[in-house]
Amino acid sequence: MPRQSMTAIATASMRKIIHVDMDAFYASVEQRDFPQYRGKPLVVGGRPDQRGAVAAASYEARQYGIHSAMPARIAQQRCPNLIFARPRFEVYKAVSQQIRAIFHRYTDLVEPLSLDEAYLDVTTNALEEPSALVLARAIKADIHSTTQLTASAGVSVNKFLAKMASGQNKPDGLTLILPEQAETFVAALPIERFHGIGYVTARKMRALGIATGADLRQRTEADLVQHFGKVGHFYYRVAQGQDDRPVNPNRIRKSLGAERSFSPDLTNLAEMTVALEGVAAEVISRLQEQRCRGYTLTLKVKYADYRQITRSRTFVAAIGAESPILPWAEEMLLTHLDCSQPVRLLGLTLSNLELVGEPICVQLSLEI
Amino acid sequence: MKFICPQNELSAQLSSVSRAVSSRPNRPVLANILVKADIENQSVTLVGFDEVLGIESRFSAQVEEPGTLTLPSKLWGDIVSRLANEDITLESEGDSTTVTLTSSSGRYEVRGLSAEDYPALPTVEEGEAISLSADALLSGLRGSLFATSGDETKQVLTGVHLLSETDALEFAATDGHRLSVVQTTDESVTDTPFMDVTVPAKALRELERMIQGYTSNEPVALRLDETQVLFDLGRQRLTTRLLEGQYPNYRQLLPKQFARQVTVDRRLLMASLERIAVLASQKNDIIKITLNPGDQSIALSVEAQEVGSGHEELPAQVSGDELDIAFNVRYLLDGLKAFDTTEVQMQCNAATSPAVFVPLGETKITYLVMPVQIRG
Repeated sequence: MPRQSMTAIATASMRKIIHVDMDAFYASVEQRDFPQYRGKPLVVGGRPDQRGAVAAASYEARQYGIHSAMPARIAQQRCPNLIFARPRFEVYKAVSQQIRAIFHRYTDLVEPLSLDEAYLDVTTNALEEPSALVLARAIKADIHSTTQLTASAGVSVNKFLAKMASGQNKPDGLTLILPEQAETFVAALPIERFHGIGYVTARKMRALGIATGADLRQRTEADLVQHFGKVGHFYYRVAQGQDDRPVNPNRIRKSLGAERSFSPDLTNLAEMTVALEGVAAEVISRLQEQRCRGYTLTLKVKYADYRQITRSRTFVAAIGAESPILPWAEEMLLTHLDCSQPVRLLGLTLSNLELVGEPICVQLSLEI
Repeated sequence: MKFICPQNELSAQLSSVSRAVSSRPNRPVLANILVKADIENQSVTLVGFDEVLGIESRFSAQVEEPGTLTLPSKLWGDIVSRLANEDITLESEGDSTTVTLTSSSGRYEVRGLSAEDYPALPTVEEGEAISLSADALLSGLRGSLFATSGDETKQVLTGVHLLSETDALEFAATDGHRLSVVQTTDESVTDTPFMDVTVPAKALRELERMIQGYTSNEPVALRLDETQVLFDLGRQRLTTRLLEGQYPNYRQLLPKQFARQVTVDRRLLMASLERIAVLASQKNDIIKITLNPGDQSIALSVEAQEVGSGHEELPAQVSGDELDIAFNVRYLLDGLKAFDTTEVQMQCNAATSPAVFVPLGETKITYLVMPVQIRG
């Protein structure tokens, strides 16, 4: 049945989607503007002595196993010569605007995912060019001549496949996945590489014997929904190479979070505090990527007996940008933690998001 | 025990007292409602009590055998509410705690618990009772309850503060961002004893509901001691523990002078705010009010990034200079809904200092709202 439906999709309502992803964006901007950094391992983000996290790592730094959301302290341990560049978000934002302006020369259907990443629906486009591959090549060339930076692009019939394609040949890659190739491509994909499957889910899938796209395809939709909830529908469809989500130019994120599960379970508060620091760093790194801050912080704790609590707190002023989230997260953990149970998962989510750069609104209080 | 009463009466009373029954009781008997059948007065009394809030309700019934026991609140209430409106009979044999409930639909046996372990409602006997007209009490509660805090960590702010002086009773509530003060005068009562207490909002919401169904012209009697307050409505009584802790000295928070004043039709303002709130709720509930003394109007606007924007203008009497001031629209609507006058007045000094809303009429409500400061 899947083979048949794939062909049906290919012919009936074929869209042309491009996913463009800047290569090591923040790090590349730093290397562009400071020639002394070129060819050297560099990260952008907080400093190791200030509990910071890596927001972006240059390709040279990645060779040391350094990646974004890693605590800066650990990054430095892996590469003692690592250059720490302070983030210059105004510059990244300006470059991002240049890139978005380029996208809009081709189509109005642009959905930015962050400063350095976007989906474009070029099924109909301003150049009336039928080949999405030709368009992707032209966009990459425009980006390079305008910003002196490279981007990787993926071209396919839906967002999921386009996104997977852009990751295939980084940096400066251009990959096309034709509808007839989708099945083979997805089948060979390790489960960790699936867009939308994070570390925790991947581990859970491995435990269920799902290691590749081919394994995922063996599962029924009901089975996946039973194990993973609502998102199981999405996993089922992408395992078939299907994804009918439209490219939405007005998408706003509702919340942003990170969680980590532990094996063995954590039993003392000191360990949990350290773990929470890592989760908070990841949330901050994602917030920076999205240029967001938020008003409501939610702490999630899953205990060894699978009992789960979530506790939220809403602040009068947004947190996550100028004001950190870790002290609040720690306070919430201390207030709500049931110390009698080992903890298997900790998560933090920030919601009620707004873009940094919007005026900060503060509900004033009475002096009582 | 045996009594006969109309289904609708029993159902209504059960629903009322069940509000004081905890959904997570500390002891099994506290999940139950106490029922007392009194043959002399031909009445039945029901009691619900969660060890903080207690509600007692008495109604007439044909009592054939006196008795006292307790029945599970939810089970009992759910069965009775589903029966047809006709006379129903409740009966238990001797010392048995199982009650047989008979109606034309059939027979139910509900197992209860002995009344022996049911705690007695706290009594407040000392001192003289304060009597208050039901209307005054109701307008005080309406004007203040909405401003109480829901944050359990700020215990004393989860209640309404009651302060009496001669023939006036003052209700105050604040959640730290807004403050509502209601002054009720009750000319039928003079020389009210001094009172300075904070009563949990949860209990007062029940009291408000009870008073709404109170048909008597008799005043409500209020008795209190150090830790408890009791409201006596004749057939119904509500008792609650008082909140401990010093209530903030709120009177000093009310500004004495204002540089700007706006008078506007309350309904028009509310209707505009309701519309503006649709967009504001997509974001953070923040709206802006612009005072235009030049053309005697105010403008209401909302900017919800990536969602949309809205703008409305209303005629108003505006004195003072132009001003942009932002608020949480929910706070404004809460207050305006509690007012009952045609016109409302807003007074303020600056964009970052408190604004005070008052209804122009008999009810004396002072509603102070802290604005939202917009930086950058």
